[in-house]
Amino acid sequence: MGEHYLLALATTLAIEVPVVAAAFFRTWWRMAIACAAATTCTHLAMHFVVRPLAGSHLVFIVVGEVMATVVEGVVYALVSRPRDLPRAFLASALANSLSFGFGLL
Amino acid sequence: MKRNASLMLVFLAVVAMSGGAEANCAEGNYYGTDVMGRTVVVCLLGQVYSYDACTFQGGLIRENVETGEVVRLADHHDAEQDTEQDAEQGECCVDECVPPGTYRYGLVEPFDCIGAACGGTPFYEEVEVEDHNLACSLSEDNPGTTAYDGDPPWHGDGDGMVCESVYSDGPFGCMVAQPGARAVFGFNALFAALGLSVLLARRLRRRG
Repeated sequence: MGEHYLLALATTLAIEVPVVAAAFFRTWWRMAIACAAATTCTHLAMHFVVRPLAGSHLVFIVVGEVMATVVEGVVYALVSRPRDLPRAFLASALANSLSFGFGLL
Repeated sequence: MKRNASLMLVFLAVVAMSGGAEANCAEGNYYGTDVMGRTVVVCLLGQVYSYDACTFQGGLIRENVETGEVVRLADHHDAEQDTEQDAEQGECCVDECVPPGTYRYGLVEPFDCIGAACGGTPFYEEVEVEDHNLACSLSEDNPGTTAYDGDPPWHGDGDGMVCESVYSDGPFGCMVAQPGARAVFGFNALFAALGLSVLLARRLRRRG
């Protein structure tokens, strides 16, 4: 696995995990672990499944990012205690927007 | 007031997404180079990342900036070559035993202009070979460079760019230009608005 990929993954985790942990501050450790796991899975899927299958860079970006936000939101909703779907949506959207925006800089 | 704020977020999300859907693919094409002693590795990056740099669009040429000499690179790769550039999906071209000097590496047929690409579309990448070690031998399977009779496509063009980006090169300009950026941000805003609306409604119910 390339050094560039690992650096991208580490940067994504460094941005998203604190955001999700802060959104669920009462169970921050549980949600931080869930975020790290879910984000790693979606990051891998995006780069090694979506990217080769996408017909264009536009499709890759939009499909990958939307998939990541939705999947991670669902994971946070299922893992949170008590289960909190709206907070999970908000946390996932915010975390992914920040990491996506950082990647554009 | 809070309901209006949530509705505004949804409205902005729809606007952002509709704008983003019109965006063309805006990842640019460019060269990645790595100099190791007297070996220069040239890779194609961007949309063309999966292509063979040695043979894509006529192959690569090298121009000595000081002398003007132009040569065509051999079809030579080295999968073991340690390079700073990402070569996982495309084959980089390896130019061995390059004499010390300043060189421009570019394709015989340059990249097509991608106006929306941040940073523009370059004709070439310029590198400096500083190793003055005279002892150098080509790999067994490397036939070496050959003379190139024509003019590099960047001759007559002063700035080395096929075209500049139509968007500002600054971070916020490129954010707008990136493919699907508005679609992604719009979707995330919608997602966040949905969550925020329910959270606010929940809080209002508790107070009521």
